[in-house]
Amino acid sequence: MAFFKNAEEAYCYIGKMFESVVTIPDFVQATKGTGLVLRLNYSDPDTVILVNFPAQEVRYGEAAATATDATVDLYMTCDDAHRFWLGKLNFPVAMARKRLRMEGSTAKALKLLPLTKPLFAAYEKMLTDDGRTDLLELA
Amino acid sequence: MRAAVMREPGSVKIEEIDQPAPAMGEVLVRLVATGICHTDRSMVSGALPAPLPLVLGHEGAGLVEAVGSGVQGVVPGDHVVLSIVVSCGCCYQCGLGNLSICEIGSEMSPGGLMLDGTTRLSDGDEEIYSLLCQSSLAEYAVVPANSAVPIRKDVPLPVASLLACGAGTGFGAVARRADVRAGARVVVIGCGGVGLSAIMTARVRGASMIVAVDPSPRARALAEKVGATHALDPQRDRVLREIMALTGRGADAAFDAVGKSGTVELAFQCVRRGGDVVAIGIDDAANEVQLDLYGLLMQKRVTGTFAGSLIPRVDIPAALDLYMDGRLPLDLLISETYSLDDAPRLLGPDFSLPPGRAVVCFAEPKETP
Repeated sequence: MAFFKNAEEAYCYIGKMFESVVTIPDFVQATKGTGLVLRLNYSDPDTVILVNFPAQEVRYGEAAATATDATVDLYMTCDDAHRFWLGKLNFPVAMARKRLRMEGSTAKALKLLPLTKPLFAAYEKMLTDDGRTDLLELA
Repeated sequence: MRAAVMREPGSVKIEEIDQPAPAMGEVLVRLVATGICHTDRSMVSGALPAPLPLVLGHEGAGLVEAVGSGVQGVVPGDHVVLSIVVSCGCCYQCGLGNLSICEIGSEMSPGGLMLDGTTRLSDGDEEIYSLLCQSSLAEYAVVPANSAVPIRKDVPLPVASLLACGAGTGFGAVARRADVRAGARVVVIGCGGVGLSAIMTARVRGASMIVAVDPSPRARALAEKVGATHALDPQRDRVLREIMALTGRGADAAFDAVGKSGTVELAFQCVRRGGDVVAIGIDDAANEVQLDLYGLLMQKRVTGTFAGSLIPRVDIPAALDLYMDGRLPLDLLISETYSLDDAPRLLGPDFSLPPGRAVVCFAEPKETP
């Protein structure tokens, strides 16, 4: 059984985590001028989230899926996304084993690399604050 | 066996881990020498993503100890260079001769996996990932048979090890990725191990002018020793102006062995209309390049290379023949030698790598008759 019951739950945690960080000054500064517009295409349940870092904006569902300004598309299952944002998915190994796939600019995607630790922390805090220890334990 | 293991970015320790065994199509090698490459350091610093835990090292040479089933062309006792070109020999790119961008090898090796998607390294129940299917900062390495290149036995293995990555990349960049003809005018930006080997290869190919660009006086001196006709300091000289003045119309080919912001652009501006630009190095995988469209319309050609686009079993023995002939002075690249115990320090942020190559030497095993 998948970790998230439905797309709404994935939006509620992964999406909201991005909403909470895109306006933080460190993120704004680090992504300024990068043109990094990241579209997360998750399956099981099907979930699409678009994070436009320069515009400090997060879009969901159809609005995210049909956006034409994404510079990087990431594809993986919601379960792996949950593991990833908790820092528990070994990214290079998952890439090699084709558990996740990327389209677009590798260089732009890697600009997120220095920001992943604060993102992992923000995601864990969000789940903890919301009492979702079940999700924390599942990963 | 003892190995240089990274369990988290910034931390490398020498640990005792299990000695690996070769699976089908693989070779077990006892290491004799392994060069320290900037890629190892970039993985340790976190600039390049690394699968963890990881055994470092990817510029090795040694003696074949054992072979797995189905291996042909390599036998125990052979001296081998462990090329970072990891190829399955069967995919679309391998069919085209592009072994360095094999569809299997180029997916698996950055992910720390062997060609079959599994690992050979372990510490008890714990899986440890390998660097570029090699992990040669260890007493033993298991590599795909296609990456174990048999070489003549009269070549010192520390010299041969350089062709596994750095010197092989510089050699191939010139020999396989650009049109460097007799009399060519060539620019090489960055005079570490890769750039220096590009310079000596350009000389072998008959280039009449080789302009080396590097801020380090030691690196520039070494560049001139291995064949550069001119050496420029980018922190002092107007590099583009000097190159235009020297060449008249721009260089026939320029090689960027640095890969920092602006260095490919400099190479692009240095070449004449219709000239070749080859990106060889990458300082940070997040770097991007911005070029003038007009320059492309003027038929400047921009390309890159992974591992010099080598055909390892052809190019590495050829390069070593040139070395033994005295025409490719690879030994000049070895600036300092160390032991495995020094690896954590060599890979740390406080150590400044010398121009050329620092090479870790292991105790040379006695050959079996």
